[in-house]
Amino acid sequence: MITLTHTDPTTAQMRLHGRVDVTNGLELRAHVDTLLAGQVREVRLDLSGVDFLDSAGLAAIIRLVMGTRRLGGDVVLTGTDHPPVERMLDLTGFRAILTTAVGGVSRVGGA
Amino acid sequence: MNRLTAQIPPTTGSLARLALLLRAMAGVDAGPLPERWLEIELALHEVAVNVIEHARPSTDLTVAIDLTAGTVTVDLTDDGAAFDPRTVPTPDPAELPESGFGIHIARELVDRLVYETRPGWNRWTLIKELDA
Repeated sequence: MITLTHTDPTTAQMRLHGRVDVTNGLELRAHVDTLLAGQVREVRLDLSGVDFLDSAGLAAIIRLVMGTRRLGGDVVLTGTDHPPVERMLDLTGFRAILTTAVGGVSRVGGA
Repeated sequence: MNRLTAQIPPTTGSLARLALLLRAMAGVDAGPLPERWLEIELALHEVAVNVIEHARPSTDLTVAIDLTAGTVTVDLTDDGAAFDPRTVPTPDPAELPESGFGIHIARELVDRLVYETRPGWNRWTLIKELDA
Protein backbone atom coordinates (compact mmCIF):
# COMPACT_ATOMS: atom_id res chain seq x y z
CA MET A 1 0.00 0.00 0.00
CA ILE A 2 2.88 2.39 0.79
CA THR A 3 6.14 3.11 -0.99
CA LEU A 4 8.29 5.65 0.83
CA THR A 5 11.47 7.35 -0.38
CA HIS A 6 13.49 9.95 1.49
CA THR A 7 15.31 12.41 -0.71
CA ASP A 8 16.85 14.29 2.20
CA PRO A 9 16.17 14.39 5.97
CA THR A 10 13.27 16.83 5.68
CA THR A 11 11.82 15.72 2.35
CA ALA A 12 10.03 12.52 1.39
CA GLN A 13 8.15 11.04 -1.48
CA MET A 14 5.31 8.69 -0.68
CA ARG A 15 3.25 6.63 -3.07
CA LEU A 16 -0.01 4.99 -2.04
CA HIS A 17 -1.63 2.28 -4.08
CA GLY A 18 -4.55 -0.11 -3.94
CA ARG A 19 -7.15 0.28 -1.22
CA VAL A 20 -6.40 2.97 1.34
CA ASP A 21 -9.04 2.59 3.98
CA VAL A 22 -9.88 1.74 7.57
CA THR A 23 -8.34 -1.72 7.23
CA ASN A 24 -4.84 -0.31 6.67
CA GLY A 25 -5.27 3.24 7.91
CA LEU A 26 -3.36 2.50 11.11
CA GLU A 27 -0.37 1.35 9.08
CA LEU A 28 -0.44 4.54 7.05
CA ARG A 29 -0.90 6.61 10.18
CA ALA A 30 2.17 4.94 11.72
CA HIS A 31 4.22 5.90 8.66
CA VAL A 32 2.89 9.45 8.92
CA ASP A 33 3.80 9.71 12.59
CA THR A 34 7.29 8.36 11.88
CA LEU A 35 7.83 10.98 9.17
CA LEU A 36 6.63 13.80 11.37
CA ALA A 37 8.70 12.62 14.34
CA GLY A 38 11.72 12.77 12.03
CA GLN A 39 10.91 16.41 11.21
CA VAL A 40 10.03 15.65 7.60
CA ARG A 41 8.13 18.73 6.45
CA GLU A 42 8.00 18.47 2.66
CA VAL A 43 6.18 15.47 1.24
CA ARG A 44 5.19 14.68 -2.30
CA LEU A 45 2.33 12.21 -2.11
CA ASP A 46 1.41 10.26 -5.24
CA LEU A 47 -2.16 8.96 -5.18
CA SER A 48 -2.34 7.83 -8.81
CA GLY A 49 -2.34 4.16 -7.81
CA VAL A 50 -5.17 4.43 -5.27
CA ASP A 51 -8.27 2.57 -6.40
CA PHE A 52 -10.35 2.99 -3.22
CA LEU A 53 -10.07 5.75 -0.62
CA ASP A 54 -12.33 6.06 2.42
CA SER A 55 -12.59 8.67 5.16
CA ALA A 56 -10.11 6.80 7.37
CA GLY A 57 -7.50 6.76 4.62
CA LEU A 58 -8.13 10.42 3.94
CA ALA A 59 -7.79 11.13 7.67
CA ALA A 60 -4.24 9.78 7.65
CA ILE A 61 -3.43 12.06 4.71
CA ILE A 62 -4.94 15.02 6.55
CA ARG A 63 -2.82 14.14 9.57
CA LEU A 64 0.28 14.33 7.38
CA VAL A 65 -0.81 17.67 5.90
CA MET A 66 -1.53 19.15 9.32
CA GLY A 67 1.78 17.90 10.75
CA THR A 68 3.94 19.17 7.89
CA ARG A 69 2.22 22.55 7.89
CA ARG A 70 2.84 22.80 11.62
CA LEU A 71 6.55 22.32 10.81
CA GLY A 72 6.40 25.06 8.18
CA GLY A 73 6.13 22.72 5.20
CA ASP A 74 3.36 21.08 3.24
CA VAL A 75 2.22 18.00 1.37
CA VAL A 76 1.86 18.21 -2.40
CA LEU A 77 -0.65 15.70 -3.70
CA THR A 78 -0.18 14.28 -7.18
CA GLY A 79 -2.23 11.79 -9.13
CA THR A 80 -5.51 13.10 -7.74
CA ASP A 81 -7.33 13.30 -11.08
CA HIS A 82 -9.14 9.98 -11.00
CA PRO A 83 -12.52 9.11 -9.46
CA PRO A 84 -11.64 7.40 -6.15
CA VAL A 85 -9.51 10.37 -5.09
CA GLU A 86 -11.41 13.16 -6.82
CA ARG A 87 -14.64 11.97 -5.24
CA MET A 88 -13.26 12.15 -1.70
CA LEU A 89 -11.59 15.53 -2.16
CA ASP A 90 -14.81 16.98 -3.56
CA LEU A 91 -17.21 15.42 -1.05
CA THR A 92 -15.17 16.56 1.93
CA GLY A 93 -14.24 20.00 0.60
CA PHE A 94 -10.54 19.25 1.02
CA ARG A 95 -9.85 20.08 -2.63
CA ALA A 96 -9.95 23.77 -1.66
CA ILE A 97 -7.59 23.28 1.27
CA LEU A 98 -4.94 20.88 0.07
CA THR A 99 -2.06 21.53 -2.29
CA THR A 100 -2.23 19.55 -5.50
CA ALA A 101 0.10 19.43 -8.47
CA VAL A 102 -0.69 18.77 -12.09
CA GLY A 103 2.06 18.82 -14.70
CA GLY A 104 4.64 20.02 -12.20
CA VAL A 105 2.61 23.08 -11.16
CA SER A 106 1.49 23.15 -7.51
CA ARG A 107 -1.36 25.18 -6.13
CA VAL A 108 -3.47 25.28 -3.01
CA GLY A 109 -7.06 24.47 -3.88
CA GLY A 110 -5.93 23.34 -7.31
CA ALA A 111 -7.58 20.79 -9.54
CA MET B 1 -30.75 -11.54 -9.31
CA ASN B 2 -32.89 -9.01 -7.46
CA ARG B 3 -32.06 -9.61 -3.81
CA LEU B 4 -29.06 -10.78 -1.81
CA THR B 5 -28.84 -11.20 1.94
CA ALA B 6 -25.92 -12.12 4.17
CA GLN B 7 -24.80 -12.19 7.77
CA ILE B 8 -21.33 -10.76 8.36
CA PRO B 9 -19.23 -10.44 11.51
CA PRO B 10 -19.11 -6.88 12.87
CA THR B 11 -15.44 -6.31 12.08
CA THR B 12 -13.61 -4.25 9.49
CA GLY B 13 -12.42 -7.53 8.03
CA SER B 14 -15.96 -7.95 6.72
CA LEU B 15 -15.88 -4.82 4.59
CA ALA B 16 -14.40 -6.69 1.64
CA ARG B 17 -17.34 -9.08 1.82
CA LEU B 18 -19.77 -6.17 1.52
CA ALA B 19 -17.93 -5.00 -1.58
CA LEU B 20 -18.15 -8.50 -3.07
CA LEU B 21 -21.90 -8.65 -2.41
CA LEU B 22 -22.40 -5.35 -4.22
CA ARG B 23 -20.24 -6.60 -7.08
CA ALA B 24 -22.39 -9.73 -7.34
CA MET B 25 -25.57 -7.67 -7.40
CA ALA B 26 -24.09 -5.37 -10.05
CA GLY B 27 -23.19 -8.42 -12.14
CA VAL B 28 -19.54 -7.37 -12.45
CA ASP B 29 -17.09 -10.21 -11.86
CA ALA B 30 -13.89 -8.31 -12.56
CA GLY B 31 -12.73 -4.82 -13.40
CA PRO B 32 -14.09 -1.56 -12.06
CA LEU B 33 -17.71 -1.17 -11.06
CA PRO B 34 -19.85 1.42 -12.86
CA GLU B 35 -19.64 4.86 -11.22
CA ARG B 36 -22.99 4.71 -9.42
CA TRP B 37 -22.18 1.31 -7.97
CA LEU B 38 -18.82 2.68 -6.80
CA GLU B 39 -20.71 5.45 -5.02
CA ILE B 40 -22.98 2.90 -3.35
CA GLU B 41 -19.92 0.85 -2.38
CA LEU B 42 -18.26 3.82 -0.69
CA ALA B 43 -21.48 4.92 1.04
CA LEU B 44 -22.15 1.42 2.39
CA HIS B 45 -18.51 1.10 3.44
CA GLU B 46 -18.67 4.34 5.43
CA VAL B 47 -21.96 3.41 7.10
CA ALA B 48 -20.65 -0.06 7.97
CA VAL B 49 -17.45 1.37 9.45
CA ASN B 50 -19.55 3.74 11.53
CA VAL B 51 -21.66 0.84 12.81
CA ILE B 52 -18.66 -1.38 13.55
CA GLU B 53 -16.61 1.31 15.30
CA HIS B 54 -19.33 3.23 17.13
CA ALA B 55 -22.40 1.00 17.58
CA ARG B 56 -20.16 -1.95 18.44
CA PRO B 57 -22.70 -4.74 17.71
CA SER B 58 -22.44 -7.98 19.63
CA THR B 59 -23.77 -10.20 16.86
CA ASP B 60 -23.45 -10.41 13.09
CA LEU B 61 -24.64 -7.58 10.90
CA THR B 62 -27.42 -8.40 8.45
CA VAL B 63 -27.08 -6.93 5.00
CA ALA B 64 -29.79 -7.07 2.35
CA ILE B 65 -29.27 -5.67 -1.12
CA ASP B 66 -32.23 -5.25 -3.45
CA LEU B 67 -32.25 -4.12 -7.06
CA THR B 68 -35.70 -3.28 -8.35
CA ALA B 69 -36.60 -1.11 -11.33
CA GLY B 70 -33.18 0.53 -11.46
CA THR B 71 -33.10 1.38 -7.77
CA VAL B 72 -30.63 -0.17 -5.36
CA THR B 73 -31.72 -0.46 -1.74
CA VAL B 74 -29.28 -1.66 0.89
CA ASP B 75 -30.39 -2.44 4.46
CA LEU B 76 -27.73 -2.86 7.13
CA THR B 77 -29.09 -4.06 10.47
CA ASP B 78 -27.21 -4.31 13.77
CA ASP B 79 -27.88 -4.81 17.46
CA GLY B 80 -25.41 -2.21 18.71
CA ALA B 81 -25.77 1.14 20.43
CA ALA B 82 -28.25 3.61 19.03
CA PHE B 83 -26.95 6.53 17.04
CA ASP B 84 -28.57 9.78 16.03
CA PRO B 85 -27.15 10.88 12.67
CA ARG B 86 -28.85 14.26 13.07
CA THR B 87 -26.34 15.09 15.78
CA VAL B 88 -23.36 14.62 13.46
CA PRO B 89 -22.14 18.04 12.33
CA THR B 90 -20.66 18.51 8.90
CA PRO B 91 -16.90 18.89 9.49
CA ASP B 92 -15.20 22.09 8.38
CA PRO B 93 -12.33 21.11 6.03
CA ALA B 94 -10.51 24.36 6.82
CA GLU B 95 -9.84 22.97 10.29
CA LEU B 96 -8.22 19.87 8.74
CA PRO B 97 -10.32 17.49 10.86
CA GLU B 98 -9.20 13.87 10.94
CA SER B 99 -12.64 12.40 11.61
CA GLY B 100 -16.35 12.94 11.29
CA PHE B 101 -16.72 12.65 7.51
CA GLY B 102 -18.11 9.12 7.20
CA ILE B 103 -21.83 9.76 7.51
CA HIS B 104 -21.53 13.05 5.64
CA ILE B 105 -19.91 11.20 2.72
CA ALA B 106 -22.53 8.45 2.75
CA ARG B 107 -25.34 11.01 2.78
CA GLU B 108 -23.87 12.79 -0.24
CA LEU B 109 -23.42 9.62 -2.29
CA VAL B 110 -26.93 8.14 -2.14
CA ASP B 111 -30.37 9.53 -2.88
CA ARG B 112 -31.69 8.66 0.58
CA LEU B 113 -30.00 7.58 3.78
CA VAL B 114 -32.47 6.45 6.45
CA TYR B 115 -31.71 5.43 10.01
CA GLU B 116 -34.21 3.63 12.25
CA THR B 117 -33.67 2.47 15.81
CA ARG B 118 -35.44 0.74 18.64
CA PRO B 119 -33.98 -1.02 21.69
CA GLY B 120 -31.43 -3.59 20.55
CA TRP B 121 -32.09 -3.00 16.86
CA ASN B 122 -30.80 -0.42 14.38
CA ARG B 123 -31.16 -0.27 10.62
CA TRP B 124 -29.49 1.91 8.03
CA THR B 125 -31.14 2.02 4.60
CA LEU B 126 -29.29 3.38 1.59
CA ILE B 127 -31.30 4.06 -1.55
CA LYS B 128 -29.84 5.04 -4.89
CA GLU B 129 -31.27 5.18 -8.39
CA LEU B 130 -28.84 3.83 -10.95
CA ASP B 131 -30.11 5.81 -13.92
CA ALA B 132 -31.05 9.11 -12.30
